[in-house]
Amino acid sequence: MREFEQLFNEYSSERYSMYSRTISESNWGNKTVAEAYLDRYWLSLSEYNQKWKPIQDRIFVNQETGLPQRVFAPEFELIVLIGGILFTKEDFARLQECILAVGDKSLVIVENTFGRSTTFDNTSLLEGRTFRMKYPAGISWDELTSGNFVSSVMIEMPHNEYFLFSESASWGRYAANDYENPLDVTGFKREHAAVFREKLCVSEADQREIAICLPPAYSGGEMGTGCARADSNPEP
Amino acid sequence: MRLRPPMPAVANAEKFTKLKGGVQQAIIKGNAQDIFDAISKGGQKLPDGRVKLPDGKLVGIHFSTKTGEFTIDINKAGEIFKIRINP
Repeated sequence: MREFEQLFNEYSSERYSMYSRTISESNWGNKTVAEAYLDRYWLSLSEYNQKWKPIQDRIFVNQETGLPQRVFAPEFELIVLIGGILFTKEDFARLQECILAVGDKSLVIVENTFGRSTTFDNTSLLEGRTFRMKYPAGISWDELTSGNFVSSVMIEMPHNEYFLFSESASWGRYAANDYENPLDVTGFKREHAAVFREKLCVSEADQREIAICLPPAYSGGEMGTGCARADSNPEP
Repeated sequence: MRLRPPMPAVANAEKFTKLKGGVQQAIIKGNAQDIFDAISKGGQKLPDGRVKLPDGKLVGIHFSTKTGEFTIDINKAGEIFKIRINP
């Protein structure tokens, strides 16, 4: 049985097509396309455990809690943006510019299971139906979104939460789409601050919206530099 | 940002906020099943569990992986509404 079998079967259901703006209901469920996509980008459990999980654990803390806890290790500076879905084309492009500027070669996307092994209604194992993907950092938007129901659910469904990171362990993003006020929290080491702050700046209107819904662990930082920002060591 | 609710049954939502990707979210207090029944009244239940309303809106439910909380999702001509229910 393939590691992604449950995910593959679950998300091929037409019920998930209601979230998609990129794939029509009539084109939903193309298993040939989705399987080829997973063959290209699925991150095997063995590679994840050996190489990527240790990197993830260097970047992220409180992984089984997520927000409102701080999810980044103390040495990371943070930018908080409005969340909701994993990516739009524009915000993927901005993050990709940061990743390439850092010099990373891969983009790993791992869904948060919050330490649970089964769904709340016990209908399935989370281990087999959660996303664990690895892409080349320079992947095009068209290729990223080419996996029919697989890529559409991962990118467009406004429910799952994800850890994003690369091999340098010098940046990460936590997509808190299931938090009551969905947020994207991007963390980066000080040496990369200039590029992340330049690429991920937001409007003043968005800054005001974000400020209202920031959890206390994120609200102690400087605002008004053009970016919604929380310092790495906020005042208690 | 105040946005219009997708249907009268959720008009008591305090406000809809716009999320990344254009998704609109509201939080409603109440009984999840009662709210779902009100929203999906008169609709046709599809084999995959969603309800299709006479005006074409699609209504689905989702349980949070993190908390198990009930969310009602509505697709109104491509606009996605996410309605979180707080008991």
